[in-house]
Order: sequence, then structure tokens, then C-alpha cells
Amino acid sequence: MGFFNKKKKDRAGENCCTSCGAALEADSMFCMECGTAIPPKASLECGGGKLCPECGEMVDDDSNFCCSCGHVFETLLNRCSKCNAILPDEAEVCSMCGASTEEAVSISTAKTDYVSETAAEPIYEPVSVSAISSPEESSSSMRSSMRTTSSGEKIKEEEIKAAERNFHKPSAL
Amino acid sequence: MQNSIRGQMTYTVDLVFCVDATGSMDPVLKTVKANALGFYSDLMNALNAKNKRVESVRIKLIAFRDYAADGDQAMLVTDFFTLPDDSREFSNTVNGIVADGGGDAPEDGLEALAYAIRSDWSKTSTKKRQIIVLWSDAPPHPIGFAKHEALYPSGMAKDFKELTEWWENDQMGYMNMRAKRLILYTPCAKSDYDPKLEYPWENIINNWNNVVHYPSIAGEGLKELQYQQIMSAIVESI
Repeated sequence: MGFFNKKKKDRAGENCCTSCGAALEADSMFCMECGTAIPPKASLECGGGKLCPECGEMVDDDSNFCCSCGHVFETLLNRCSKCNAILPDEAEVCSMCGASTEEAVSISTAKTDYVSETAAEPIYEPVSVSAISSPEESSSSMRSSMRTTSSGEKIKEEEIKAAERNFHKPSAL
Repeated sequence: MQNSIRGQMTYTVDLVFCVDATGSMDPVLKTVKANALGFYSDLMNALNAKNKRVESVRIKLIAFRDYAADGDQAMLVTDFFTLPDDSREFSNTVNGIVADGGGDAPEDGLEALAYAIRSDWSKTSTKKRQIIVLWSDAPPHPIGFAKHEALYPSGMAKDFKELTEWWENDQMGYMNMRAKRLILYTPCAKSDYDPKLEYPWENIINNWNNVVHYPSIAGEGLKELQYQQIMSAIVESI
């Protein structure tokens, strides 16, 4: 069972990338999924980092979400460009100052684009466990860019599709 | 028409990679996958170092398992990819192979070899190489072992003798006598199913022309095999 198939409570304590949530190997210096550099543990143990307001776990200062409980930090939230208030996803006008939210959306989009351009792999979004298919499910049900096989091997969706596209199953010579 | 660049003979190279894709083969599959994208440039660099000139490179994949155990996943065959244009597609296809299945110890490597021999080899050049590279950590079933299976292909060589004809007989037109090369990374292991063919891979090595054998350890996925060794063997065969 892959990391993303586990329930939040079962991920507690596991070492994971603070940018995309992928499981990290021991002593990793970079996340193999998105390329984010992994800060030395000492930076957290010596007092660096921030507390998750939901579960109290210490996470890296730059974390977008908590690896233990999945809490999404404010960095991923839409904010009003005028007064910095947190905006609901579909808000057209800021409820605090009345400013149009178009500018706010473009800022958060730009931030997402910046992150996407710098990430070696697509950004992990905290999706439900059911969105990650088991090896038995058809490829049409996939929403993530990786698939974990029954042997634990991770294969990119584009690679699976290339194999399906190019391999024939000949019935004759 | 003579192939030449600046007065030097050049070759068109067709490669067929036959890979045992059963569960134990994960080590060598990882090696092939990791180097698939850079394979063309690595090959060109190695050839240049040997002062060999290649006009074109095509490569084809055959991932084989066991007809009796793996159903429609027993034999997966691509068309030729033209390198370097198709390098990304080739690499993605290689990386889409999952080391899985296999059933009993022997696999259907001889059937894979049959498909490799019957490839759509380039016929446009007089100076060419038709190179088959086969990786397996298991002895093969006797050819036709699984012929009762619903998905067993029609037109397959009925026995080892016929398969030998396909490889050896220039008149049949499947392989070119001068161009063909077979590189085997296979174990010296007995096949329990056919007492007459105790060491099937060795039978090929001892009786077929233009064959190079690099013995592997049975059942260990060719984990000892390095990429550079594979590259060297291919370059030497050109």
C-alpha cells in the first residue's frame, strides 16, 4: 500500500516532503517526487519550524501542509490583495474590504505557477485516498501522475500510457 | 549504394531488446530503465570513441514472460523506435514495463527470440547490423511448451530445429548472414521440462552463428550486470 493510500492518522510520524507530501527515504537530501530540498532534521529539533494548529506537530517553516494530519497552511489559501483577508474559493468580492477577488485569484495562481515551474514533478494536492488507484483499477480512474504497482514500484502515468500505446500483444508471427 | 560519410563506411543499426519481464528481473530492468533516455547519446559517444560511424539507429522492445501463467501479458512487442527522435517515447515505454508474473522458473524466451528474428528489419542499406540482445535469469521453456494456451501465437516455430532454421538459413530472409548478432545475457541452467535440451541457452551458443554469451546467475535478475558492460557489448557487435 502506497504512502498516499494511508489514512491521515496512519501517516503520523512518517517522514514526508513538506511541499508535495511524498514519502521520503531516510537521510534524503531532496524529495524524489518534486525535487524540494529537505532541511536537516536539526533545524526542527533546534527550534526551527512552526506548529500545526490542528495537531500540534512541529513542521518546517516553508511547509504548505502538515504531514501528520494534512492541515493546509495559509500559504495555499486565497487572500485578498487589498486587505489580506482569507477568501473562500469561489468568492467574487472580499467580504472584509469589498475589493474584487480577480486580483487575488491571479496572485494565488501566479504563486501556483511559480511553484509548478520550479517543481520537477507535478504538485501533490491532498486528494482523497480513493483517488489513488490500486494496481487492479483501470487507468481511466487515475487522477495522480504516479501509480504504485503491487510490487511497490512507482511508475509515472505517462510511462504507463506509453507502454499501453506502444506494446502490441501479437497473436501470430 | 555504399554507405559512407566522408569516405568512411557507416552502418544502419537495428536493435531488438528482448527483456524477461518476470518478477525476479527487477534489477536489470531498473538498469535499462534508468539509462533508456540517454541510450542514443551514450551509444553514439561509445561508437565515436571506437571510430565507428552509424547512419541510423532503430530500437525495438520485446518484454516476455510465460504464456502459461501471464495470459495476454506474456509477450509484449513494440515496433521499431527511430532514435534519437523517438528517445522520449522509447524511454517512457521502457519505464512502463513492470517486473511481474512468471509462474514457474522457465520463461518463454525462445518465443521472444522468434519474434525478434521475425522483426521488420531495415532493408534499405547494404551495411547494416541486426542486433538482438536478450536478458533473462531463467532457462527457457522448450519452444511450443504452451502451444495449447489460447493466446499462444500462430505461426510460431514448432520446435528448436525450426527456430534454428529461422536464425541460420539466409535463404529464408529473416536474418542477414553478415548483419545478424545475438547477445545473450542468460544463465547456464537446465530446463526441467525437456531432458533433451538440458542447457537450452548453451545449445544456442554452441550451434548458432554470430552469438555472444554473457553468463548470468539464475534467478537473480542479472543484478551483477552493469550498464557499461551492456553498452560495450553492443558497440563491439557493430
